[in-house]
Amino acid sequence: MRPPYFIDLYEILQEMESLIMKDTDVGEVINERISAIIINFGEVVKAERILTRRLLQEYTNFI
Amino acid sequence: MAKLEEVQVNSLRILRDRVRKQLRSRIMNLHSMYILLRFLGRGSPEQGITNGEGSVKIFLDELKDMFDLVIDDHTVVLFDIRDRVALRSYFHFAVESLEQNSLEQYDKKMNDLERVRFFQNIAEDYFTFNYTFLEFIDFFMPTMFGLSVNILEKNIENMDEIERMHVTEILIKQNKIAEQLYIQRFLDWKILFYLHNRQHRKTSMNLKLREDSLKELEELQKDYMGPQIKYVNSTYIKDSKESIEFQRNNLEFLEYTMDLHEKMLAKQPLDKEIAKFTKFANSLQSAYRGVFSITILLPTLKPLLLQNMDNETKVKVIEKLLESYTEMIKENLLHKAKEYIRIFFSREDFSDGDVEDKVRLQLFLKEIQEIRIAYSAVPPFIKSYVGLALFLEFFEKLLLVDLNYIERLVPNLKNSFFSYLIYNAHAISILSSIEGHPKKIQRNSSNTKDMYSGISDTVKQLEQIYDQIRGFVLTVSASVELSLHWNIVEYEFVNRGTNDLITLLNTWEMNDTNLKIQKSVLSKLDTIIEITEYILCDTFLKTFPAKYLSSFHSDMTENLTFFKLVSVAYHAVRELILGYNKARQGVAVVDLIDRISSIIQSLNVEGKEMSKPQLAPLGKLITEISEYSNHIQYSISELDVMEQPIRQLVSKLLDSVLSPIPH
Repeated sequence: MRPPYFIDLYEILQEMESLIMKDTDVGEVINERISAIIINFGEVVKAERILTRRLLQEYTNFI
Repeated sequence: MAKLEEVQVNSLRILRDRVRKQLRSRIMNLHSMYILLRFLGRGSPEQGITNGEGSVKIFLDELKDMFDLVIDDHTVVLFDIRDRVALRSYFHFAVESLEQNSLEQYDKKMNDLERVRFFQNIAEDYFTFNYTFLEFIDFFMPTMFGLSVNILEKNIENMDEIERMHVTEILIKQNKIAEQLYIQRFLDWKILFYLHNRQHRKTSMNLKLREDSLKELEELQKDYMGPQIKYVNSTYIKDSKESIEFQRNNLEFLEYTMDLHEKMLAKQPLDKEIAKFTKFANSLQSAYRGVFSITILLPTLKPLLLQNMDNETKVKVIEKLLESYTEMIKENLLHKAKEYIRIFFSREDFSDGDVEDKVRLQLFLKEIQEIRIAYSAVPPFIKSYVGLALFLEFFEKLLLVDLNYIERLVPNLKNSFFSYLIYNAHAISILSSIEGHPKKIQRNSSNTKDMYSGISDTVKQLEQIYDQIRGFVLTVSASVELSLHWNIVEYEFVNRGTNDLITLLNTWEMNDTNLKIQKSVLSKLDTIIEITEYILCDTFLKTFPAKYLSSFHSDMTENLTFFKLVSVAYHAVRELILGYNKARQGVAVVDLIDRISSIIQSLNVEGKEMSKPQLAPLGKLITEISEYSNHIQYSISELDVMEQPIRQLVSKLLDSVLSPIPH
């Protein structure tokens, strides 16, 4: 089962592949898409960080 | 009561599993970002830089946060060992990228010092990481220290006092690590930093500053000598008297070196200093004299030696330094020896005929013999990494030396590790010497026969070289237990071999006006293809037998090496394709691609599923394929016959990479 915030690399790379296959200005488009994806990751990792801290706090308290 | 305990244990287990899954999820995110960052800017670098600024920051922030968790004694146990290894890879990627200025360009908000501090903090943390000492020093620290030292060296002249204080703080922090690891280069650099500072203050040196300077020197001596004395006491000199003597000698030496350096800076007459140095070097009895003579003295002495001495004196001093060098090797200080070679034996210093090649060669050959003896005592990890790099560099200096001559002077070299390296160097030598050769013939010859003859000879030489190497590789494969280290050697070789071939191919301009010559060249190119195919495919399969593949999951590092090889193979094929564009050898190249593709496919055929961290090198591979795909689309669209197979290859690779389910 995938973790809740996990972005599937497979899908990303598939998208890259489809872009590469198109006769467009691939480099620019890819860079834009990748940057956008990583920016989204920024939100994801922030959320994960909060979740991690909460879980770790719980874990530390327990032990 | 027992029931209650059982419930608690179960609850703890459930909670721990949740945390582990959470951490795993974050590693996956990091990995995804890592692969994406490797894509970034490939197609359009400028655009990548503009858009990448925030992306890199996100990646680094997350990486740092994960490191905070992994260095914590309570939480480190929650990480899978593969994840810890993966984190190391990501960090290495970040450092590597910094060194290549790519991340520097992206992250414009971070200045050099901030960058150093950032990585310094991580490096400190990393030291407490649950990796072995050898892993740490082997893989990580040289890069880290290299980075900070380079940045600081670059900026030292432009620093004001406040910045210098910051640097000193950083140095003190790094010094704690360096002391434990005996990272000599760092300590050496610190001395130089002190000297720069001292010089800088001279303009306004009052009594207070002078006192400070002296105190600083004392502290420096302690810092500098501390690790050495520890090392000596623990491993070399047991007798305390000798230890004290050693310390005294080297303190004197250090002070002397500083004085000399300052005189150099002040451009005072140096004749007497040279004589003093020679006398001093001779008087030093410690086996460690070489250690101190190298990094500090060489940059100072090199111009003196080369400019102010006659040839006879030069050779004497070189011999003296070589003695120290041999001692260093015996003391496992190969990194110093390497630096020594780099500094002292750079080609340009000898190109004016001041020192005869013959003398140089004799000195080298003497060293080869010494190294052979010393090498057997060198610990394996130094042998494999530092040693390999050293020897490759060392033998590359012998490029112009005739192989038979070396063998005559150094008997029984064949069928040994050194033989391999010499062959390798020799192969490079020949390839280097014929670089541009066909062009030269083409330009200068009045008839086509000369050109054909030249190319034919070249290919014949190549065939012989690779035949020798092939024989050697097979011998080694049969007799030596394959290990990561050997794979690295193979990797080095394949990398060099293919690059040489590519260089060669690029020199062969097709002469459209002469079909006969073109045909002859093409037939020789077929031979090259066969040789390359052997190197790329046959060697791979032989050096990665089923036994190796069956343990595919067992060692991440070995897997990475394998992927490196595949990546090199792909790179070579790509270049070959570009080279063969004009030669219209598409079919043969496509066959080659198919074979490499089948290697990758075989990983899945045998049921060896790859986990996400293992995909990292393949991410790069895909990037390169994507690049090539672009190139196919935009640059060589006339080669329709090749386009489809390349597309198929991309598809196949993506399938083979992506179809396994991550663990």
